[in-house]
Amino acid sequence: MANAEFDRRVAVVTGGASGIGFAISKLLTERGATVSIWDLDDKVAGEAAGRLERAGHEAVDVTDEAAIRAARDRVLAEHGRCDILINNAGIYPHATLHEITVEAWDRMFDVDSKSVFLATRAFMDPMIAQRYGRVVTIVSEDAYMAKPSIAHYAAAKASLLSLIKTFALELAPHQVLCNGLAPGPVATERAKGQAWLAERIPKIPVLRAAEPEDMAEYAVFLASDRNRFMTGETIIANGGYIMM
Amino acid sequence: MRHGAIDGMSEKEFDGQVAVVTGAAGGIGFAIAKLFAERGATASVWDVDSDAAAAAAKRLKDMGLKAHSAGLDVTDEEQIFAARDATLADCGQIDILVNNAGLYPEGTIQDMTREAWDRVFAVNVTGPFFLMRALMEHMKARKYGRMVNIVTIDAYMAKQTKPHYAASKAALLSVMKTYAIELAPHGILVNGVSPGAVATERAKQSDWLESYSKKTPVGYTAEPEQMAEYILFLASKRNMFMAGECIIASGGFYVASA
Repeated sequence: MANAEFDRRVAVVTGGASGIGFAISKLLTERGATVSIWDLDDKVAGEAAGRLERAGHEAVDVTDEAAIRAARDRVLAEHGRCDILINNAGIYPHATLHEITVEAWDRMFDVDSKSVFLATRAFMDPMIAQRYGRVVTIVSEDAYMAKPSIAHYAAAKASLLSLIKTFALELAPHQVLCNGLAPGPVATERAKGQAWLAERIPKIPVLRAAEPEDMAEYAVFLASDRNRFMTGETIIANGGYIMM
Repeated sequence: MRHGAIDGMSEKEFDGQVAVVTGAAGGIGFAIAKLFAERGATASVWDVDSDAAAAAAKRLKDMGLKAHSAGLDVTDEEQIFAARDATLADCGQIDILVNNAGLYPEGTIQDMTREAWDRVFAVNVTGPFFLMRALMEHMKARKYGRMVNIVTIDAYMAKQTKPHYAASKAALLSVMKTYAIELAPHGILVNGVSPGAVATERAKQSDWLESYSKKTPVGYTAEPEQMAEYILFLASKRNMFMAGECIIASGGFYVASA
């Protein structure tokens, strides 16, 4: 029998304890990878890792560069390498343009944008040294839209579209490919039952929201050896929802 | 439905499916057909050269794979119907359509003839439009289908050496999106792939390929087999939520030039 696709690959998934992040962690481990689940909450990360084979965990504040580097060093010390970085951690609190405080704006950009810069920068040198890497950043369809209900989130995600391209060009000569995934509505545990999700579904051409497992397939494909020629791009997987 | 661990067994993820690939007697099209067949599908090789299509199908069968062939001119709707009906008669069903057949002749604004313009649009846009229409009712009845259109990064760019080609592919992007919205409620996902420079046998004989690998950030051009992976992913059940989108796989070339 052939080896599993991700045999001997080591992956870090930020925000990997729940939602899309957990679905990605699960799929990677099912296909043979060893995964380090990163979450702000050590207990939550540990419980998530406990549900999977070949998964460890780290408690990391991804807005803190020193914490990222310390966790990276522990992963490298334990496994000897890191092949895949999934930048999934993020927050999405709704607030109108009037309601967004300076603190809320800064917090949003720290968690949803700066964290991607810091984590990708932390892993790029080890990936360059091993001449292999896959970085997948979770964006959002909101990055392409006007979003009066959550403008800071949409703007922070839009910044990632640029950042992904810059890292892609910087790292392409080293066989490190950097891409993004922009999901449409996903029926995470947190989203289920919320009014916005129910209102959106009839407007989605495929007439349903995505499951976290649907999204995991795209992220895992971009993180795989099947992807050898795509970099700096962001896949939009939103059920055909037309961009206005 | 969902695929779990990918091991030696589930590499056959297209077991029981029938994949039609147009322009599949050579180049990227043949690489796509071969990868489908290697992963368990019956590859239906459609090509304007029916002898070449039959020879390509025979090559696949000689490897122990499942293959079928049909000859057709994709600009002729009657021939599309005939190829569809023959494939359904022989294979029973069609799960996947890959619109790969296309022309990419040189030409400038100055030397463009009306005939050259019309010919490129006929093959690159009109063909896919009528191919998708010819297969959609069958797929709707089965509530399942995947259609993948081969576009190109030239669709997004000025192209002084092939203005008709680039414009035809830009038109294909629009056609693809309209079909995506039309068919999404029926479990049929329509998407595209825009390749950068691919080292087909034909391209290897040209002088542009070498210069492209230097200009491509990853430092190499794609093998047809590498490009086929994107098409197969979009044509698979791993893709359950993407419709009307076009993946750009150009080794970073498009990002660097934008």
